[in-house]
Amino acid sequence: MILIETLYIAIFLGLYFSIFVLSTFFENRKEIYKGLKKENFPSVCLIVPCYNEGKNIKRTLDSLLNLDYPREKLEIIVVDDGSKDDTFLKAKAFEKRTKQVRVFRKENGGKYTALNYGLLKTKAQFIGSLDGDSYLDSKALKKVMKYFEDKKIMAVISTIKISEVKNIIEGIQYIEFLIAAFLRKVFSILDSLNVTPGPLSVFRREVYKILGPYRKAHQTEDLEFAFRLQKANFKIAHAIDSLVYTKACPTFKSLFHQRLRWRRGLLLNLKDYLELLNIKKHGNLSFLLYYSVIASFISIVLVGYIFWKIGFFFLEKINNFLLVGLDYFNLFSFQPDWILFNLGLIRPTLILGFLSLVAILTYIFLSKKLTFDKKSITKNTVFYLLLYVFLNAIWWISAFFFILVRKDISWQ
Amino acid sequence: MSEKKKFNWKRHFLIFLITLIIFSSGFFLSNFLAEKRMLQITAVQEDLRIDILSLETQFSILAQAPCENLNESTLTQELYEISRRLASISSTLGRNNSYFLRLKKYYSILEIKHWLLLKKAVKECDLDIVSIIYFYSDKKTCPDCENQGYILTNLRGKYPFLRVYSFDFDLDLSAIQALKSIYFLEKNLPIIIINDEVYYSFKAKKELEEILSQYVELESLEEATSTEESDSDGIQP
Repeated sequence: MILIETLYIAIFLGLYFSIFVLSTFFENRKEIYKGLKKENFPSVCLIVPCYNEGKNIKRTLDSLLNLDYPREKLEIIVVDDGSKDDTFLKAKAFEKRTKQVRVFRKENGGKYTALNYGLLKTKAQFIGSLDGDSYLDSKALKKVMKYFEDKKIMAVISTIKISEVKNIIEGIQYIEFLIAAFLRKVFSILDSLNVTPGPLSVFRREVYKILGPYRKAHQTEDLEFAFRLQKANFKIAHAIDSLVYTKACPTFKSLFHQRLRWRRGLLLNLKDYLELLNIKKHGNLSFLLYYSVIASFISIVLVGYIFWKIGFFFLEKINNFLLVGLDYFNLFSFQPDWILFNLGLIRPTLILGFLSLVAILTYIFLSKKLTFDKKSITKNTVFYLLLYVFLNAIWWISAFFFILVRKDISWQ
Repeated sequence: MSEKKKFNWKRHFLIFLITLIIFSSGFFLSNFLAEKRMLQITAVQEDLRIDILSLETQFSILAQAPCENLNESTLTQELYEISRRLASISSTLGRNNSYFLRLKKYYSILEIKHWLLLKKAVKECDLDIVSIIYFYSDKKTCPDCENQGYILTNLRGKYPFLRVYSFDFDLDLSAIQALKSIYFLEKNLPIIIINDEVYYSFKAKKELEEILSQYVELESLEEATSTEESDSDGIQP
């Protein structure tokens, strides 16, 4: 049975990956946070590209003005990408209050055009970006800038956290982001980060000089830019203690759209940067990219297996009904011998599946500890464990489908 | 490329080995637990053997069936319980596992002994019990057997006067060969023998009920005993 074999392959690869990630983490646990030798405050410009962020821009700019960083060294550039709401007016109000903030408006052209517009308006030594729906912890920038003491580091990303959880969909994203924070830290230890996310990533000015401006990049410019950095063998670090808060997608539809964009972007950018899959040239980065593509196939097969089992269960019930008529005992009886156990007999899938669960819970636990998270996450973790595998498969299937039919998607 | 970015083949090989060890341990642990479970079944089978021997001895000592004290339904329940456990073992270890096959042979012998004893009890104590011998085989040889087994299980739950003894037609056991030879059985599965009458090929629930009604009045018995619990996986270990 090919499905059960894939299930074992999935568990094997999952265990392999977990051992690789956890052993890397524990071997390098002293390097998780960056200590500062000498306080130094180079000039920084944070570009805030926004489109219809009227509801969020005030909080974003308030948090930027509240940053623990010398005012004269911090410049904030808001680029309104042709919003149809009052984003521009609200941002302008800040411009009147302080010289630190400059606000520009341009025709709508997509996030990357807004970022590039901002790049032209600054002479700062370090340039960062922050999405218009995100806000920062007051120490976030200082913690990021510490990493630039190392001259080899060309870019630093932060830890993204979900600011508010109001429903299950947002709760699942909360856990997903926690796991992502931990994994990104490990990937940064391996110099293999493959994304410089919109919510606070900072770059040395020369990065843009050497690599050029942002590109459309299949609506995932943050991914493409990281690929470009990696191709040039530029180091990207992750300041895990630098916290940025962002809004989660509140509905299944908006989440679907965002994840479809991310996954489609990953696959298409990977196609554009095939050389990153050369393991001799790009080592662990190639390994992790291969892994993410293989994992996508496995997640699809895994969900297929679960649905096949559920379908088989109902077919069996219908068959039994046709054989003996309505038999309440058998109609409601449930034989849990599918994959996990059978009348007290434990199957290998249960033992190995349990180990995979332990690995995921370890990621969550470690990430919570490393990002000083005090929130109770039990309920969200349960929903994540129950639903994420299905959501992930749906996103991957859709991404492959959109690529196959060559369908483009919008940023929003 | 930095040292840390480099793909360290040695390190990955080591991780591969560790994963392999953990992965195999999962299988070993599962098998180990299954084998422990089988030991429990062996113990239950031993109990049943003692009970059957004890009943046989009772018959012998009293030189006639101790009809007043006869309680064969406990024995039947024990027999069905073993069948249920065997079914669960087979789905974990596979139907061709040698230890499972040994247990199955032993179980088949116990079934035959039970059947013989029951025949004697029916005759001497005038019991209203119908025995069904059911021969099945694997899915390839007999695609209908699973469904037939399910129907028999259902009937067994519905009519407590029924005793169903199931045998794997292909099991290499002389006692089963003997059983096959006394009824001159051909391999046309599934085979159902109801009170010494042989029926070949799949029989739907209604057909079986019609046959059974020749031996007992089904409706009265069904009403009287409708609360009995049925087993969902007892017929085909």
